Amino acid sequence: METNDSQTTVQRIAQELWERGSWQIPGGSGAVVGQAVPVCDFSGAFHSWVVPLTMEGKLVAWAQFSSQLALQRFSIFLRREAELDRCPNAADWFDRQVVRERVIEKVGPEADVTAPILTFDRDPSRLVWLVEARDNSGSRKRWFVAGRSVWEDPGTEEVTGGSGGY
Amino acid sequence: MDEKIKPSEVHRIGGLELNLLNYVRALPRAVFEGARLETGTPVFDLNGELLFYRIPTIGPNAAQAGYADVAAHTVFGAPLLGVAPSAVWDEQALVGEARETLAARPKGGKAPVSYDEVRFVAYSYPKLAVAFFHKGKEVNMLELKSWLEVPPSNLKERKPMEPGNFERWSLIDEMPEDRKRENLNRFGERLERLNGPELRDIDASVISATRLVSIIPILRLTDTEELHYSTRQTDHHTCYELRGQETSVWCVGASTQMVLDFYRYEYTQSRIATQLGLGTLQNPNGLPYARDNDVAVALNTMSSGALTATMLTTPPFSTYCDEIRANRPLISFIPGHSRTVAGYTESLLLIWGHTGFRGLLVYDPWPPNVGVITRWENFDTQIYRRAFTAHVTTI
Repeated sequence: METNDSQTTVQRIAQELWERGSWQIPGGSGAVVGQAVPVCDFSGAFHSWVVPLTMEGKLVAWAQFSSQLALQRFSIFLRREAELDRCPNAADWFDRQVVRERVIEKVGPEADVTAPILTFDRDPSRLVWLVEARDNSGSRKRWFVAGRSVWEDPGTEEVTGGSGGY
Repeated sequence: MDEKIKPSEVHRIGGLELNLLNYVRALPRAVFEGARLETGTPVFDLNGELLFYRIPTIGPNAAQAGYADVAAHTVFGAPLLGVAPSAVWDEQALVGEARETLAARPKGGKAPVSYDEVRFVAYSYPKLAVAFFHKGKEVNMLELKSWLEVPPSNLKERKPMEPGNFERWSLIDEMPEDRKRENLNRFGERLERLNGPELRDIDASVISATRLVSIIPILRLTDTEELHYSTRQTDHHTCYELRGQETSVWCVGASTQMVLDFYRYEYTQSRIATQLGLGTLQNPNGLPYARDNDVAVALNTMSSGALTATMLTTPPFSTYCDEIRANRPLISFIPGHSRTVAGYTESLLLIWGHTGFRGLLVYDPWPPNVGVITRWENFDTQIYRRAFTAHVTTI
């Protein structure tokens, strides 16, 4: 299946699941199903889809589908009515420019920063944006961005959580 | 629960499963509505134990309407093994063909093979053979329809459950013990549902969707449980709180905090990190795989011994269900990450050929400082590495 077809299909599935009430968000009945975003694996190959559900600029939930379009998980940030303010800003998670700027804040404006790629740290449930930054000396570093949190890729040793962080 | 299912029970549960399949239109209604289950053919494992029955069904027009294989042993994990709606099963004709083939074999000057018993044997499940016995000892085994002689076992030269293309092997003997135990539990759960009060009085020997119509609305279609303040759920609300991990690598600390919070042991994540050797907020680290069991130790230590914690490796879905039913959260390790489990859901009315949806309610400390509640995580698409159970030590 072509990725574009697949993106349309996964969005349609998500919309149907939301409209028929298969997904529940406490206090989030006004949520809107957003555009599906591809998730890549460590090698940069297509891995899965993430579909955000937003309300008033806040990320209230997301759903993750496998490359075969099987629903892997539906997760909610909005847990109670009137707690919308506690949800992450949708832009922090799905606006690539916002993600890129977070890394620039960390590494400085003179660094050469790549376009963000949505991937995961260790397990597909740990979604992160990956941005590579090259400083004046030419050295490259890989940065992870998850909402407002930014840290350097800790590598893939057998450690639950990761070998070092912020 | 006994691993062996009584023959009378096999016939009844097979009929119930077929009735449910017919009701959800997973079987051709025109063929099966009004059909009856005939006497089944016992099929044995290579080790001599009864494995399943092949039960022919006769349609309302008296023509055979296929057959169903129904387990007589819990090794399969589910009662209904398969349905062949358009196939014909004629036990007597097949035995006749096998006898003729055996009699016609060249004897090489030897006396004809004598036998006093003929059995159907799953020589390499689901492949069948007709076996001939004399005074309890096998004298020949011919593969069904090809009528080739099935060669002896070759287990010493291969791993269990990895037979060659044309090789006999015992499903019961070669299946690992832990998988057999899991299948026994799953089989037991399914039987419990089929033996429930709603289906108990159904005449399972006849397949009829119209008779089920009045019963289906009161059947529980899913089994769902979540943690509550106590096991008396009618007057208590869901009682579990999410904690986001305070650094990018403190998922183990946050998971431990959630479980300790549930039991009213209130610690900061920094304090738990110290206990688990996860560094500080400024200089944090994760938990190496080699130190997984530190979580069980921490739960015990930080509750002053009140919690008895156990580390499990790749536990089955039933373990999560058992713990949640007992109102106990679990910590779940997946590769590189830790979360807690606070509930489960499972489809009860399964359609044959599909596992049915099995989901976990996951309180996930990721993303950092936020966390997320996943309702539901598809159990069959996730790799599970460890689980930690904890129960209050009582006198």
